[in-house]
Amino acid sequence: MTNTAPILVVFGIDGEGKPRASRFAERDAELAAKAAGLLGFRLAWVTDEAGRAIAQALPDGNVFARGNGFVRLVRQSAFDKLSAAVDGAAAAIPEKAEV
Amino acid sequence: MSNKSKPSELDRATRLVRRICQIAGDPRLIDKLTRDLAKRGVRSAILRGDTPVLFDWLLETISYQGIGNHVAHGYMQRHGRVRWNEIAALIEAHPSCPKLQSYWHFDHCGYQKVERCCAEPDHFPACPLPTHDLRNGRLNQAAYRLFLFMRDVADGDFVGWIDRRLADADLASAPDRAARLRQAVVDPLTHAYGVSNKVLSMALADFLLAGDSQRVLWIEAGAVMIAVDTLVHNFLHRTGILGRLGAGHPYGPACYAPAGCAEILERIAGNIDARRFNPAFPANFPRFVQHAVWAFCAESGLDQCNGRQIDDRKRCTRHECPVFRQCDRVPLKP
Repeated sequence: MTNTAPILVVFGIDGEGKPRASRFAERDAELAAKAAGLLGFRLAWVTDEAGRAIAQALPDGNVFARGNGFVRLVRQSAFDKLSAAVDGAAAAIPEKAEV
Repeated sequence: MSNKSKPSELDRATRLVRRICQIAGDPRLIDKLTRDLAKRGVRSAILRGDTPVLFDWLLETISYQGIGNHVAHGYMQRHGRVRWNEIAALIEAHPSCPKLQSYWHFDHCGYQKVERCCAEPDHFPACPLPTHDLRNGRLNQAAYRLFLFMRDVADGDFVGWIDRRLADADLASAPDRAARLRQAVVDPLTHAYGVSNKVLSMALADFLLAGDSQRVLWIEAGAVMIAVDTLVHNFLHRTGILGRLGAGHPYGPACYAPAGCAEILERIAGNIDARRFNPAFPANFPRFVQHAVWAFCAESGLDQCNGRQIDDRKRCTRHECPVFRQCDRVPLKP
């Protein structure tokens, strides 16, 4: 059976201009949202198939890690694909794509 | 851990450690911890959900790491301790350093007490962190990290946070239930405090075991928290338990890695019913077993198996040791 559960991702550009993105477990959603908000990162639930494939390939984030340990560095290409997937979904169904 | 002859080697190790529990196990372990926590106001703070008191206790307990207890205690007596309310007041004044904004911002602070420097030199003159006269700069950083953790991650409710973490890890049928319960609390706090698994396990084991007898999950989690120090590691080495189980490793992080000292002690403890030492104990009580090993070895305990008693270049010759015949007497530094 194919897993179609939404994937929680946090992403953004850090203080040094580097792209960062990670996925988080659903149970960490509340803390991930809090930390993302404080650090100025974006948070989204990725629901569509193409976006899920991109999100699956992201490194795991850690809500208990501080600084750069919270969201990991990723390649610019992966970051761009994730941004496009999230923003594309947001444009289609904005009230559901972003948390 | 080697699979070859594992059951019989584990049985042998269990017999030896059970004997140690008979000699050095403390049937009043939980009672003593309970009295100590009550005396320090920790038990009532748990019932009230009083995070500031719990912060003060945990910080002080962990401040004893890496130095003799009397030295750490003496320093705190002379220079004072840092308290939740002091840090809260200083943080509420919105210091300029960007690292003090939240738990997640507080990374690579870099404060060094003697050099009087940090990673944000422009903000150093107005920074509240160096204002506390602690034994070293790492403790200042640890105090702020722990404060920010309790404020931001635990939302100011440390008791509730532990309850939730343990409830989430409470999967009755999981084969690694003990490890899950332990990790649920220890792993996040390791990030928060930046100390070793050993130091945190020691502090949290006592806290959870004796903090509130009504919190069953706390007791179960505290019972499986094992503190592996050099005495415990060296005991497992000298007795031949590590070697026979194919688990030789140097003292350090490997003690908590798979097939390390902690896992071995946990497996041995699983074969020892601690209720035989005190019917009120949980049946599976690795912390009791580890504490018995420590007490057997330590100078401040029974003073049987340590570097002062044994010439570690050779096989132990202490015929008077109560487990001499059961021990492989493997030299530590041949």
